[in-house]
Amino acid sequence: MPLEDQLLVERSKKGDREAFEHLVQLYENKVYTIAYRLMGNHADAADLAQEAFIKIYQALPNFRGDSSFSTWIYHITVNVCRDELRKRQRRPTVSLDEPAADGNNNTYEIRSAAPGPEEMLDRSETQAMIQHCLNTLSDDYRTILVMREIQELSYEEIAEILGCSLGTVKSRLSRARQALKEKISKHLEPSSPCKRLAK
Amino acid sequence: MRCQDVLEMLSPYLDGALTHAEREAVRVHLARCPGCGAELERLRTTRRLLQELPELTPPAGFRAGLMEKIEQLPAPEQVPQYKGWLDRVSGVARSTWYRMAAVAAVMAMTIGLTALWEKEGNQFLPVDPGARDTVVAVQEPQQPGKDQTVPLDDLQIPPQEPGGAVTNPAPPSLGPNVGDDATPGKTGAAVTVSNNRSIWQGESFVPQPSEGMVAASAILKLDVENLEAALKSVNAIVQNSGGSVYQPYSGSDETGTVGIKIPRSSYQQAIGSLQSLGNVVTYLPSEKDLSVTHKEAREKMRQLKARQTELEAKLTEGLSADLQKQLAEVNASLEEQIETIKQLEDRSSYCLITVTLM
Repeated sequence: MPLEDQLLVERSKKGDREAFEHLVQLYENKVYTIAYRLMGNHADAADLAQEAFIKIYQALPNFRGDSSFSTWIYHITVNVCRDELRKRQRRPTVSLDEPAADGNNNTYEIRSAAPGPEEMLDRSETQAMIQHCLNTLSDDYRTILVMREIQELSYEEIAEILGCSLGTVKSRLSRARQALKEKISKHLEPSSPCKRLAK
Repeated sequence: MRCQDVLEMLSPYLDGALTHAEREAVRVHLARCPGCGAELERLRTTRRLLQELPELTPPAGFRAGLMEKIEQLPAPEQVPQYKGWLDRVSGVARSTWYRMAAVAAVMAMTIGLTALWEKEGNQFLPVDPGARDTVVAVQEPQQPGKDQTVPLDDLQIPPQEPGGAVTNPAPPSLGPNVGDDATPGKTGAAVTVSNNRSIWQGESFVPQPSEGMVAASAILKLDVENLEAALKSVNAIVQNSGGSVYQPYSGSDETGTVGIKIPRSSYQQAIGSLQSLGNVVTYLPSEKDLSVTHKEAREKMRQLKARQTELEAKLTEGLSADLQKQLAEVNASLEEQIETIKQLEDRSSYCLITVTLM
């Protein structure tokens, strides 16, 4: 862990809020990005990134430095988002659209799968399209893709966070990539409605 | 190696997560199969697109809003985190009240046993099965053999009023809640050791025989008159055979592919019905042997179980952090191994069919 982080963590543990604000400043982009990639819209991303930081603040005294501070906080962020996604699955409001993930038929689109105007403003067309494709994947697929490609976690780390075997990580990741690839190919077809949507 | 097998390995191939032999096999196949090569490129592009997504900045006021909420919170305190059952048990075992309870329990059990001792025959009375949980803990350590040790995860300490003696055991616990319900500081509490081992979930898992275990898949290309009607029939066949669609239809009005999963038991019937939907252009069934992998996984599981038993036995002789750590590691590997076996068994229970309609 960088010395700066270490000092800030130690001070924050003692209740130094200024030190904690420094930590937030250092990591807010990454935490926010993970939340956005998982939730698919800015409103949810902001809420959940805040919630993640509050959890991080409260759990700081228990951070023993077994893993790096960044790994630890990204882990908490993913868990906060997964909890929220699970809550939403229990009260589904959107139609079944995805191939079943791991034999589980309860996969639903998340709220506001299509990017809103603000999502489009400062993003290139392709990036917006990729995020849109991510949003329409099942929660399981989206989560594993974010963990692997954006957080760059190893198979072992993913297995630990998700509480599953390496075999499951390997097969789920493979299917998730396949699903995303197909979504992207479809959206790149000239007549695709999503291509128009992304414009 | 067939394309179907290679396609399934492309994702771990990209990550460098294949064994050397698998990697070589994929490489050889890719060198002479442009189709699979193109698929690899598409996956690579997908991955690159995701990795190139930019890091975002939270909206204005994000940090200020967050810090406002933080200000309202009390300073962070050391709160007990989730502990594994071993931590909990050892925590309990170290506490003063537990030691007092243990002494009281031994005394109480001695009294209880004395009461069971037949005056004339010098033998224990036959054990009532209903009372087994209570008595067994005392009896078993006196018998040599495998069951001699009482696993630590069997300890249950129900809260008791002062002066309580050995009573009927509490109902079997479903989780590692040792100590959660116990009342520290009360004297005379009794310890009931039940023969219930419910904490370690993999206990009851029995693997299937490895012989003949295969991952079956097939490619079926059909020339059909009416694609929409044929697709409906495919769905009906899937439903009737108790299968499922794992890859929804993708394609155009003229041609496209749907991936289906059919239980092995209904495979013959299902494939017959599918073939009757049109002219069979291609039918390529294939089977990948899983028996060796399954057998190896079973052997690993057996070794881990032996190690688990050994460690549990050692732990009943004395708690040590190192042994606990080792046991936790063995349990984790064991669970992983069981998961692998389950996946292999699951995979062998169905056949994946890629149906292309044209």
